[in-house]
Amino acid sequence: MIIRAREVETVSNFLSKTVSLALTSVLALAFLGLEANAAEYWLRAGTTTLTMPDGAVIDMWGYGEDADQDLSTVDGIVTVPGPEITVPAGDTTLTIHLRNDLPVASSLMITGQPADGTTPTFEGGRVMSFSDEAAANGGTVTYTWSNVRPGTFLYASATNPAVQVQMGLYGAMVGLLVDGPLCEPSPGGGTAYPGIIFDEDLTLLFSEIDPALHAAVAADDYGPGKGTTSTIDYNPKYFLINGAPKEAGSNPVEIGTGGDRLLIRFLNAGLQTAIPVIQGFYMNIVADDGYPTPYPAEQYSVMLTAGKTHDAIFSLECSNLPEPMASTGNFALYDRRAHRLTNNDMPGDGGMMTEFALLDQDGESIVDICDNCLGVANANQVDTDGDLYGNICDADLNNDQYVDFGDVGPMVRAFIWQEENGDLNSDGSVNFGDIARFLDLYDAPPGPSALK
Amino acid sequence: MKTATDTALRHVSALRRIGISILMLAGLLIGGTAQAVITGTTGVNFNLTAKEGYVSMGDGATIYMWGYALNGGPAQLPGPTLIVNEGDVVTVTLTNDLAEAVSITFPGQADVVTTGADSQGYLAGEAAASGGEVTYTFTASNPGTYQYHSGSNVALQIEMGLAGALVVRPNAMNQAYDSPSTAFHQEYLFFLQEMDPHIHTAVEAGETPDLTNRQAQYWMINGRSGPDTFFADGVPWLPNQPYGAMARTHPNEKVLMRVVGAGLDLHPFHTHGQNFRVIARDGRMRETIPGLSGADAGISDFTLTVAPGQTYDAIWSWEGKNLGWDIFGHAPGDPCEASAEECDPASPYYDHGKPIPVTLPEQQFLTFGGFWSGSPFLGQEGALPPGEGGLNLDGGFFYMWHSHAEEELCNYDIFPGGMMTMMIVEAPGVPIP
Amino acid sequence: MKRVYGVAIKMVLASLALVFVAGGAGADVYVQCPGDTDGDGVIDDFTDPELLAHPNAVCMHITGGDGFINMADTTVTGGARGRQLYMFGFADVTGVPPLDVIDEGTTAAWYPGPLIELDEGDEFYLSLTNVGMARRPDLDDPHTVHWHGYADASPAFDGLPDVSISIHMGGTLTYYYQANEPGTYMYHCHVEATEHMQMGMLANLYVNAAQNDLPDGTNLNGFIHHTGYEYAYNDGDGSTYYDVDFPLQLSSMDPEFHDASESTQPLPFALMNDTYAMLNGRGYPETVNTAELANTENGVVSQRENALVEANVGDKVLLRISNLSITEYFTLMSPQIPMRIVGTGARELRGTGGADLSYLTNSVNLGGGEAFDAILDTADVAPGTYFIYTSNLNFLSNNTEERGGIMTEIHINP
Repeated sequence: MIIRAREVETVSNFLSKTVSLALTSVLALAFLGLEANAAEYWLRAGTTTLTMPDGAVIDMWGYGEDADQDLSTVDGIVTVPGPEITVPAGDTTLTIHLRNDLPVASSLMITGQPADGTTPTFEGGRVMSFSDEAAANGGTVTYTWSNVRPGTFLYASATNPAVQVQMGLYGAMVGLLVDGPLCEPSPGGGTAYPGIIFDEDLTLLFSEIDPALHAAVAADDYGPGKGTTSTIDYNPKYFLINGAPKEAGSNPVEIGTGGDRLLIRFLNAGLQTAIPVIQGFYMNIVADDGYPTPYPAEQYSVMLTAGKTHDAIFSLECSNLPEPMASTGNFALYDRRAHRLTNNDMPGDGGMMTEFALLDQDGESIVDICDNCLGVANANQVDTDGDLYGNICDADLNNDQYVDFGDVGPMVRAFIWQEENGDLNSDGSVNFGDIARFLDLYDAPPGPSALK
Repeated sequence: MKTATDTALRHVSALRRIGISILMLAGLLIGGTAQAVITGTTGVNFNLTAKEGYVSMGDGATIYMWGYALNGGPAQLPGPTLIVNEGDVVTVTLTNDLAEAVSITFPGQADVVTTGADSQGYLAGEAAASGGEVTYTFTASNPGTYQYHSGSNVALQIEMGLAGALVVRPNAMNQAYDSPSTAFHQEYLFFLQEMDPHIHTAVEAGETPDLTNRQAQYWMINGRSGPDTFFADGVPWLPNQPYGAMARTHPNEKVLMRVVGAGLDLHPFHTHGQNFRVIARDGRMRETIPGLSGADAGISDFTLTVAPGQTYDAIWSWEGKNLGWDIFGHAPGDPCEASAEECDPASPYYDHGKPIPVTLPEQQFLTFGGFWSGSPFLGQEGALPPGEGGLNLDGGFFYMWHSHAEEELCNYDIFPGGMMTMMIVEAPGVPIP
Repeated sequence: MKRVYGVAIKMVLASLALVFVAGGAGADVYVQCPGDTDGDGVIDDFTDPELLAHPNAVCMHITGGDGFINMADTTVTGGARGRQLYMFGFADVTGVPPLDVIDEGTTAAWYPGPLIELDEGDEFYLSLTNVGMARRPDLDDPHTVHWHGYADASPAFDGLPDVSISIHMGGTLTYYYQANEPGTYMYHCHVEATEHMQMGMLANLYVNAAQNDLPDGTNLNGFIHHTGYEYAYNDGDGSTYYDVDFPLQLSSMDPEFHDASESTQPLPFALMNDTYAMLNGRGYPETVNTAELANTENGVVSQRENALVEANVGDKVLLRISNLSITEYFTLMSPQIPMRIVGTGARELRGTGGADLSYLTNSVNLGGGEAFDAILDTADVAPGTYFIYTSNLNFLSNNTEERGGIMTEIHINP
């Protein structure tokens, strides 16, 4: 399993550089509103399987993104969770076309985002579906949300959810308030809620599997008059984050690519409460079901009840990192309901735990968020003038925040007098190698440094 | 659902009624023993050992467990309460007497440096099985209520008992945090855990339990299930469970509740008598303006959801006002000793000297609790039938603090017991040690 | 059947009276209520000096006893009612002459117990008569009322048997409460709480805010109060205003426990497994059935509350949500209409400095003994049917029947 923090594409860099935060939000909304295209998705509900660490193959239901946007043909890969539905900043309209290849009628709803004009279906005074249904075996339905709120939301089947959500019909929906970075050096990021800016975001969707129900459904032994008639005996055996349990060899989640403010979008599509804990760090819990929290709580744990979403801002400033982590970069996120950190009856670690790996893209064993020169391996981190730009990234010898003609004189002087600040490559002398590096860095600001 | 392996694990002989008798008898021992301080271990260097032990439950069952021991003593449930001061550099050395690798993780502590680890567990550097040693050092930078627990094979080891409390005191006396808004008169720890005895039995027998079938059957406060929670700290017949949970205060005093969710399930912890006001979670004050406003953003509630891994600090205070009668039992001409409001005829809380508007039924229609003084008035005692009451020598008011999942007021199949204790409001002037 | 047990109870009472006759007390039901001249718990003499001394007196007389209810799994039974369960509970006998209370109350308990709605400042005289458990003549359990959350409670009226008094079969205990804090509470019997609450001795209780009674036109920091306006709390700014309110009490039952009790078998405390999850004592779809429901054992109308939420577009709807399940946390979700949580634990969500701690959400999580006040603003909601249900989706079950459990509907009318 590889989860990777998503870098949001930069839409309008100029905004971030020139306009204050408050103004940016307003402008960005107006600006983006003009060019906004309504988000539109073509999904397919179908069957798939997941293989658990103990070898069990679980029959699942899931959503797939229809590859050719034509629901008359069956294509696209069904996954659990389903594809992440993204609504770009400025968009207030979302359309989802759903084709249902399951043997029973199905549907889709987004908690906290009422769809336009849907009607529940009833049978014998009992609700069958909270929303419009697509008939079994190929039926289609289209939903429109014309008033989408930004935030983090869970979408799932609205038909007999006790069965269909358990079977895997769920996924994340993410809407942004403002795209794009507001601070350098972030390559991505955005604004999630008013005043809640982030450099990168990460979706962690928790869910559970009780294999007994899946087996019953797959064998057509679930339903009135059959072997299993309700979900009351729920006893989950597998505990997943983003569709996979922890197992030997699980890859860590890579974070720390985009800057120091990580937004974690926690979602729980399971039927039980999870308590994610991030080891060694505090988060600010900034939203509840896509609504901003009035006074964000600073906690190391999140109470993530069934069907709930929470957003948390996690500050990855280098100064917050414990010393060993700055070099090794790995730390854990786990469900503190620890009996669920297991895979069925297998001994040892499993279930809802994952590791975060802080990225070190230039490979010098200094994680990016602590690195005074990104993109170049400078294990010595030499920074002669102490301006938090490592020498190898710092040809701004006159410290006017730009490498230009004014730095040529000091570079020449450093070359003649062998001044250490001109030793850009830290090879012990100021030589033509440093001159070459100087020219590489010419006509640009110093950096990039994660410390600035 | 439970499997049929229920049988061999306990030595339960008590019937339900006997359970109640035990509950009543327990009260005999509380006079003068409940302490308004948190019992624990102070200092900056702690030597803990992870080892096997047995704990005793309120129904008489004896359960195999793994616990942290202090200085080579017996395994404890919970582990030793570590009490340190803000800014202390804390060193915890862990020796492992268990047959599998073990460790400690300190949620909420930011920069734990591990030295001498034999291996790396999921959450912490480990001491190897049967004699390994590892040292953790951290600076207790932030005051608050925390916990520590195993960072190895956590699915099993937390259940087995490897967890304890960490209290970081601020620089100011009688405050929970560095803010006067967190001042208190009395403080108590409520460390909530639960156990599924079948898992413990299986581990003792060398089997590998299926943890996904876990269903707790014992529920503890400070390592004890009721009515053992009433007993004093350190009673000799509970060598592995040194901490009591009985609490006492006076009217109008502020009680600091340090509540720790240390098990694997959520518990709704209900405070009879009055609401509490949350001041902190996870060792951080609930503030509207971080660093400035003090603990002003916590909710008032009568039941606290205590979730695994989380900690909560709250202030509770009982004032006995606005009842429509004088609970202090004053006659109209008596001096005002409760509160100014109580004696101010203009106040909505003007109760001074008012009688109870109803009469209590005659004795033959009543069952009397052992902690009932015979009088509805604080600090007073009334006539009781022979053999009734008698466990409330100072006429205090007893309020049960308990899990409001009443299933958890049992010790296995025996009611009463489980996750419950008493908060006693003593009359003004009754000394609290 | 009912009469036979009534006679049995009377015999027991008679024997009690014989034993204690020296004490001078009658064994009769004895209701204390200022201005009540005939002992039925109804104020009928408005010149009574006792009533004049307690002009805010409100009286109620309830029984504690046993009875029967039916679950909602009608597709399993194939009948009009689902599985029948023996239960313990409270019932309202206010207005019943004292000599008839035992008869009326025998095997006639309700689930949930009678709703108690008070106004802040009321002096509440609550008389509890223990009518005994006629189907369990081996039991002589006392009962109590625990007003869960009552501020600055006195042990005498807190209902916790270990620390106070509880009432024997045949006796009446009158509790006195000055309704001192508005908000959403609950009440239940606290005697052998695991058993008596599993068996059903629980109910809704809430207190209306004094702010409702302000003079017309009062300016509340810019919000103009008018006669008839109602608020969840004394908010001082109209922020907890509502048009309609509904109590929604979550609970659950283990049918095996109830059957064991009915058949005088050992009670399965350790194996407790609640499989009927309910709102106001009913599983869906009976939650939306507005009829009062009679049980199949003796025809007593024992399930009187429903959980249907009805409002007009534009209404602010206050849901008074509480949980008295003794085994389960429940997360209650309103996926289509957001909830503004304005109170917890019978207190407005305000910080100690007055900060507004209310928040919007689509779900709340409640353990036993927790209460939330949630306001649904329907201003932008189209007329139609919406849903509130538990997101612990396995509990959308009436035991072995699917599409039931903790779910109800919100009907928004144009």
